[in-house]
Amino acid sequence: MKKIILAATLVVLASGCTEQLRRAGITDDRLNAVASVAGTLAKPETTPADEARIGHAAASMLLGAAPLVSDQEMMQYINQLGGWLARHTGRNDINWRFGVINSSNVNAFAAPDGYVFVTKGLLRELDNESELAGVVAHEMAHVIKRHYVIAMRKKDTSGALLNLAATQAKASSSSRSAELVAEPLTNLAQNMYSSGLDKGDEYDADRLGVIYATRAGYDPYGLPRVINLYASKAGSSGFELLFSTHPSPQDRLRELDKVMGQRFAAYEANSVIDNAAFKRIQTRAIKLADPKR
Amino acid sequence: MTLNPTFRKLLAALLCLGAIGSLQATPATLVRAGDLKADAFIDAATITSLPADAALTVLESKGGWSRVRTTDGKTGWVRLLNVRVATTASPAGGTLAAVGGVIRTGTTKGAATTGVKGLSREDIAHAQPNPQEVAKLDAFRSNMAQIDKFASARKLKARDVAEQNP
Repeated sequence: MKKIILAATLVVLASGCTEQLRRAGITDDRLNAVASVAGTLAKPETTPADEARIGHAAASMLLGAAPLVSDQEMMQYINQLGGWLARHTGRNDINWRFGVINSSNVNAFAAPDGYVFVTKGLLRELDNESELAGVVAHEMAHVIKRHYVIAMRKKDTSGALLNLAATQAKASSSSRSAELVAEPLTNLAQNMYSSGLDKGDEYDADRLGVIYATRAGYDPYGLPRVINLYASKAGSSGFELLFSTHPSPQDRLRELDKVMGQRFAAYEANSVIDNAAFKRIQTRAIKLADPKR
Repeated sequence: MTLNPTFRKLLAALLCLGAIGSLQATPATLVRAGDLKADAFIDAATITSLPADAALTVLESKGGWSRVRTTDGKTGWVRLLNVRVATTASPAGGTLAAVGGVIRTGTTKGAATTGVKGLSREDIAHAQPNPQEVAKLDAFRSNMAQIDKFASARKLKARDVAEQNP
């Protein structure tokens, strides 16, 4: 019966007859709830192919700002670490690709369709491999929970994400095909990565990041220690974008404290904290010069 | 002992900034009452009990523990998540990080003023897409055997951890 009322309300809403519904005794709260469902339905779903295009545009923009390190050992290391973590996320089916970006700015990024990046600056600051695992797992949670896709859909006022496939098909007849599709997506990605996700998404990624890293055998406190490090670096050069796009470290620790409680202490004893390979990678990161413009 | 003049200048500069000695020390507060332990494990001897809101200095962290110094000079370990680093940034922290950055790399900023690429807000605003770099990622993807080797070299053991909180 409820379903019939909902369907009838949807039809009437769609026809713009809200006044009749009010007279029939349907409250504004209910009307708003149904309208919100109707609003979601009105937007076409983002298909996996669309997500791949969005992710590629975002990764291309980030690597346009600063390229990958040209260091095979660092790149292989981050892919092996990420590959191991992926097995413990429940989403080993995602096309995961990991990279170290040659930038002294301290940060990590995720993009739809399995892209995860950490900066050389971050590798320089961390103490051990479990901390890196915590950060990488946090970024993987953003991919798995589709935080960027959902946030970009909300932000998309230019219509860059609407009917991506059709735009692509239309553009393929033009000589500037790739650019025509990519340009609005690049603008949207620039907007997205300089403003950041909602606080709730960051807390969610912190919670899941700890879970994934712990499942993979790493010390559960790697990520909380990194957030502590950020707290001690407030106002420092190289941390500006990280701070302006994330909730305060104190708030993140407060939220993690709520969900971690005493539950993770039991995993500490048999956890991996570090490996000599991490120190080797870190030394390479410290020596690596920034790319010239 | 004779010091190289450049090194002496650098050392003097660092001492001026108060960098040496406060390198690891970060002001913090204990968010809930808890024991100060002699070592970083739950069965370690209790040095004293600390009240909620006690002011502390964090000296280092290890696993789920932080080594702290109390205002009356006692040193020991408390649970990491019971400690919050002070909200206001200490100016020394900022200067220190900047000095550290200069020593390590010559610069930490990727902004246009430095002449190097980076990932500041300005760098992102001016970024031109680089699909060639994205394509490089495929070549570095690890295969099953490489990942197995990575895990066994570290004796990483998979564990069940439920996603939902109990």
